[in-house]
Amino acid sequence: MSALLSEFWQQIFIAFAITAIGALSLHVCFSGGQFSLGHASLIAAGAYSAALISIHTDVPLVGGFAVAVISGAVIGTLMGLMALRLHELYLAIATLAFGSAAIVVVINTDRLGGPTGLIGISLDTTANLALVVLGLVTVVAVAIRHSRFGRALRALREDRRLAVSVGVRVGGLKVACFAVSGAMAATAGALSAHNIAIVRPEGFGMDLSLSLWVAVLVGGTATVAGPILGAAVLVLLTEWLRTKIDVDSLYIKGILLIGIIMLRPSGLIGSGHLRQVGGWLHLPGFRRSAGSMGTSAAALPLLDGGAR
Amino acid sequence: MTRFFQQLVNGSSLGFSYALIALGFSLVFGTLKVLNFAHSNILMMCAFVGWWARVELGWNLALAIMLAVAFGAVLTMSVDRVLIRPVVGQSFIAPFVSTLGISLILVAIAKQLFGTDPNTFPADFPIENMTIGDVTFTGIQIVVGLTSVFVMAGLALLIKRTGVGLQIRATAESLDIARASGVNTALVAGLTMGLAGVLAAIAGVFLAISFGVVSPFMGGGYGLKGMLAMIIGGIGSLKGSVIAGVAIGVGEVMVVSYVSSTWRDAIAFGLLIAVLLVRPNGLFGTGERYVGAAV
Repeated sequence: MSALLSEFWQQIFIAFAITAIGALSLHVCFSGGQFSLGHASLIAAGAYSAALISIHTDVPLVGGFAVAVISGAVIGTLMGLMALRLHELYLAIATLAFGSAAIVVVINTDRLGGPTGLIGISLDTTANLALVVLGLVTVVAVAIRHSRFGRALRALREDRRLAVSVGVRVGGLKVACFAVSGAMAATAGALSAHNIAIVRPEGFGMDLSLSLWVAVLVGGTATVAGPILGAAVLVLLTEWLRTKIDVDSLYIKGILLIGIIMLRPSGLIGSGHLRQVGGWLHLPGFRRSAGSMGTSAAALPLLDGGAR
Repeated sequence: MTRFFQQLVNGSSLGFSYALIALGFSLVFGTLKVLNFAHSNILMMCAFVGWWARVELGWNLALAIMLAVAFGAVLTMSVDRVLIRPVVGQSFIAPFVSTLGISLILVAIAKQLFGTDPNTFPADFPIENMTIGDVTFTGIQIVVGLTSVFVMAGLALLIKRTGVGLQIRATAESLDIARASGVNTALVAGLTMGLAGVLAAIAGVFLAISFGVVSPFMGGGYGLKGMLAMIIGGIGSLKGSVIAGVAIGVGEVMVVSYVSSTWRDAIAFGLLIAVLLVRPNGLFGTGERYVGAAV
């Protein structure tokens, strides 16, 4: 990657990878119907952990990422505990508040640099590293989708009571879903910390959480490919277009959201599209006829079900 | 003790504004089952309209507030017509997406029109400060307090005692049954959204005067506190929204006064967790989530 792209496009690619990873972690969370508006705090957990390790120790980069993943899972677990009491939009509002409370905690913690943040993080993020991490996270997302865990999550999203009746332990599943999602999101934070060498609390506000949703919703929530495509569209439009014409990225995000919900409510990639494309290309594992998928839940368009 | 009572007064004044925001969310969510995510930035736009009329046009404050209120009602009803009605019924998330979209666009518009620097909202207030014992009520606090109580009482009367209120309660309980019984639910939806816009405008201008600034970024934080107050109070309970809103305001001012101003924005979240641990449906919630379900 680093050899193929100019400096400018490498930065765009890194921004895309970070957004795509965040969007994928949201996708996993939302595949279980858990509606989080606080994912910025999970990314922050990864960024701050990686920053602390990089500044204070000589541990190699992989170690920093590992610590980031663990702390992302821990913060995700804390956030997931709220899902035991709250559902749907109530959970969304509570996670939004969790995110802003997390910033308050960071600002009041001297070890985390307080309001000024942390500086002096090693500049290790390259386009290659971003590609590798994005690849790994994508593999994890696909693996989850085809695992027992992923099927339980989709069952939970489609009908909570039915899921309980077939033996899904809903409480633990919800918390696990947030923990896994947190671990994934944290790698985006670590990439970002090593990319700009600085982490600041205001970088992890409500705007970041909402931007991730723009990517997920534009791409479509039904597939793993959706959030990645959504992140590509979002980053291309906001980062690249901004260098061409002077337009506030808020306009772009707002218009994208309204456009997608009015014109294509299930996002650019709906549940059936990948199968269609796979069928045309005669890829192994894809059948032309609908309804032949192993899991019927996968075929249900997301936006008409929702968590209950 | 004087300090405590003074902070209680200051906190209540802030809390009334939060309560007005929470009422706006609660009314719409409880009646139409829609979370208008743009509510917070409609509030921000209304504050700018009030500021513009007061500072740029030199109107007096009452007229400026009335202009903001009219603007808020029209803007909220337009958002409902254009962005919420067409996508309602798809899923609980669809209206959230479209209102989030317009919310971001409103911030972009405000940035373009008024710049990103905070604008000063002059606190030249026509009412004298009042002192009872050692506790001072500023003119702003008196107006905010009286207006809020007046608006809340009016809203309660409207919903509990009038024919229109009955229609709102019927729609809240079941849109389909209300419609089948001859309630004009489209009218109720428009009216509810309009009322929410009025509440947002009043809260927006009050917050702008109280803190002396308007900024394109003022909406998000206030909106979050309003939504939290709605949940803490219990969905469907307007009384709960008011009490929770005031509690958040008082809590914040107390923390700023006795602990540190940097912890202020965590209070609402702390209250949420504390209340949910004890009462999962919120202070006055019954689990039935519509306006009028809980008194």
